[in-house]
Amino acid sequence: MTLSSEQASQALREVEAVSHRSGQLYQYQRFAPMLVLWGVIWLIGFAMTHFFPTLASRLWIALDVIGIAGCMYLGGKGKQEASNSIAWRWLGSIAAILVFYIVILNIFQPFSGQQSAALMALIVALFYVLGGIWIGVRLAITGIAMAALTVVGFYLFPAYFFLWMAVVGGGALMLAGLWLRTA
Amino acid sequence: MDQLDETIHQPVRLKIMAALKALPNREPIEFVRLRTIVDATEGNLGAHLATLEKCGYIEITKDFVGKKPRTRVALTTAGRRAFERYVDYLRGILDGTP
Repeated sequence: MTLSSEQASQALREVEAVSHRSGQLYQYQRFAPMLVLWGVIWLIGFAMTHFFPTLASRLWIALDVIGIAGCMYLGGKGKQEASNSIAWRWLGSIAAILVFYIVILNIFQPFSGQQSAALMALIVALFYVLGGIWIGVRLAITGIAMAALTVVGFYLFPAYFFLWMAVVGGGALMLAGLWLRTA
Repeated sequence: MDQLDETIHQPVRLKIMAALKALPNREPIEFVRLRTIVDATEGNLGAHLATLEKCGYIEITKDFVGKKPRTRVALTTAGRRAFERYVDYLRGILDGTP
């Protein structure tokens, strides 16, 4: 059997379309449990920050360690090759976010607890949007929703911002994780 | 490769191979998710998977998650190489060098 140029081109277009879709769904499946994990962390962390503000710093260090370790485990889980490489890339990405966050806070001192929390949430939202541009629209929508909810809570409910982030922000992340999983 | 791989060059099987090739090496995909990507019926997909497995291009594993049966499909090394040759053949047609 011989193919015409048009048939070959059509076949290659089909390959490209299916490959893109398959890769996208694969990435959604990898990200989904991480979103749920961070949703739970936000729910616990921000709720505790609202009710026990003096414990906030120590609490968030512990929760972030759990979240980072969880993402490294989930990112490399089940992969037969290069799991170390993926884990280190996750660690590097998170380290970059933390360094950027700390530098920005230092430049824009003084800042309130609400401002620092909003900044971190917006940085994370930005990374979801950027990731979504490359991976898939659901991730981008998740980032946009996170940013919008953060801004709404910051300006409309300043006295209850931490509680807002716990319930609405954490809940949104968990729902987004389930939404990615069903793609 | 100077001739078309007829096993791969079938619309549903082409989609199967393309979907599997997009995953990391030997990473499996569940049957139900593959069916969504390929947009085939359960019976149709099963028949084409059997053909690809017979050629050694894919491997099918069946196990249980709790009490729920699970079927997963992964590209073999031979399947990956065959698909790469197939794509090279198509590109060769477009370049005028089959």
